[in-house]
Amino acid sequence: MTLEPFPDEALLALVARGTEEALGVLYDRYAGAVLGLARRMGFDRAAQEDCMQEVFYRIWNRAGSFDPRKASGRSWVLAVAHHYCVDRVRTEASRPKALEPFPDEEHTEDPFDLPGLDEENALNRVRIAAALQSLSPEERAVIEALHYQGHTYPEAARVLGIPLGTLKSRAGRALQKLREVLSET
Amino acid sequence: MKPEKLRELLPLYALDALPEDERQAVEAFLERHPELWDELMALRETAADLSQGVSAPSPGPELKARVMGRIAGAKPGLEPAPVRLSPKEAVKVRPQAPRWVVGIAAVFALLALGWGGYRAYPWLEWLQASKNPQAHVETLVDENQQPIGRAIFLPNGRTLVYAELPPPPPGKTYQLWGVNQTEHVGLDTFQGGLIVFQMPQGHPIVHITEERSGGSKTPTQLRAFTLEN
Repeated sequence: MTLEPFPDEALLALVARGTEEALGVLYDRYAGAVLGLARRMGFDRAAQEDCMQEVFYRIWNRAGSFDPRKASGRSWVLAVAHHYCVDRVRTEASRPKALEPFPDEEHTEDPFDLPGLDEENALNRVRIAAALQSLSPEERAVIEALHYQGHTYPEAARVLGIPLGTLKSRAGRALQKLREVLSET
Repeated sequence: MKPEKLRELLPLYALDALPEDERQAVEAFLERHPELWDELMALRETAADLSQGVSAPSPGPELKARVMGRIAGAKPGLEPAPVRLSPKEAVKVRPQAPRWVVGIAAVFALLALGWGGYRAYPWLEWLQASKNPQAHVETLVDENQQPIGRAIFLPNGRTLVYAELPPPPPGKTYQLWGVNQTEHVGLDTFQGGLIVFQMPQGHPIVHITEERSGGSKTPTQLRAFTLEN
């Protein structure tokens, strides 16, 4: 008896109905991503574990609001995780410092050397790192400030010292480029 | 907010980078403009890629045990107010999972889970129905007009209702009714939760009443209803 072959959308429907096993399968699929995101945003070990617990608790409680017309199961789960981390980072008295800024060419971390990282996630890391390299340094800085440091766009404009309009257009252009590059890989 | 302004903010919304007031404004706008959902979905996929691209090795089993222990025996939260769409806003949907994936999932549910699969099947049908571009979705409200669920109407009359109702009192049951301006047609009885049934033609409104066990020929105590279809 296993739910593992189920797509994320079906698992979320089952979670909404109270099937604990379905949440367990989603945990197995996304725990590494949630933990990686919490690490990347600079939380310490205890806060990373809090994030894990809170994110999956939110998924349990909010799966009923998942609407497959607006998001895939994967993007919904990861949006719940990102939203929680961003909320937390914005409310922490001392804002955590995001880890590992975008890797420079000369010291790129080899994801296949990370013990315990499965092949699929290692490939994902390679794919995203390559896509990010297709952005200009200015566009990467915007993605870093918004997505990985959790700044609102007015904060990010201030931190980066650029006008709001410039930040908005860079963010839109960066996502569009990433979308195009990732759709080809 | 104008559509061009929304399009400017949509990437920032997908990146969780909007201040709270603007985030709420964008969400309200999106509810009224389902033609923008495809674009939103694409941006969310890219944002999800950014999140998944920093995956760490999966944490140990102790943490999973703590996560699962926290929800063990707990009921998931009540789903928030559902999206209401008028017939004119019937959405052009780009399905996220191909229909055959959902179909296979249903077969797995039935074959691999036995009774558990049988219980899960209506939810898989719900999932399929919610992806149907011709489906019409309505909020189900209680007697105080508070949202307690939703109804999905399919063009062939098949109707799915999810109602977050307390268990009916002993000797009582909930009964569905197909309603139009002139009559109530008594339909299935159920205990709350999800039910799938055939709506009689020309009866666009669902009522749920509390009745004696076995149901009634005429409605007695209205407990929930859809406003329109």
